[in-house]
Amino acid sequence: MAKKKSEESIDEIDELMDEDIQSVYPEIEEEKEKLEEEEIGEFPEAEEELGEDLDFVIEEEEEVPQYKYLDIEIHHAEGKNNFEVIIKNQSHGFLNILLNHLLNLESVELAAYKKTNIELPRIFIKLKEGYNIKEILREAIDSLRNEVVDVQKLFKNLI
Amino acid sequence: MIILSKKTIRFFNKSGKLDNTICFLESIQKKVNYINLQCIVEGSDIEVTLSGPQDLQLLAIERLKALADKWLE
Repeated sequence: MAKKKSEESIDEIDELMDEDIQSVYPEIEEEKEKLEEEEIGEFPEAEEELGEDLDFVIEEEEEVPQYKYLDIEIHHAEGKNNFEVIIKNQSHGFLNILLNHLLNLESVELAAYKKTNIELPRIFIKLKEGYNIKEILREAIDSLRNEVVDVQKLFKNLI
Repeated sequence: MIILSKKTIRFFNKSGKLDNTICFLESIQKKVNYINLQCIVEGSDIEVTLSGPQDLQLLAIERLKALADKWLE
């Protein structure tokens, strides 16, 4: 009995020591794992050979769509709930369609855009009481995106 | 649906000073935006013709009235 107890106590001490070591040196093990992963990934030729031997063809992943980011500045305009949004490097086409989507929203009272060769293009938006300009812009861009996706689907069906 | 129309407003310069008329026209250039407008001055009469969307016309008229109160009274 005494021996069994002593063996159990030794096991407990070993477990505690392991936990202590893991808590003190966790990074070393992670680094080792990373190194092992890197070592595994260093043989592209071998993978290619394996791929040739296989009967099935490995499908390539679909290309992720590349998004174009807009440079936007939001300013308060003269009057309550009036805002001016400056959109850099955009044409009449984009401004016009964005304006139409903005006007379709219930929260937008009036909207207009201006594009000259002197100033940057800017959109004037007058909101109804209690709405946030950023949320409104997100809604408008979402509806614009949905329209673009619908048009893409239509064209794919035609082709 | 954007409704386009044309609207003409006439103002009278009660102060009778030409400087006030000039200041009124200059402030119109600065403050009234996003709409096409044409101004004709004959003596103390100032005629402003607005053409564009109706909602923007209303906004422009609000601003024009405020400017007229400031410069032409």
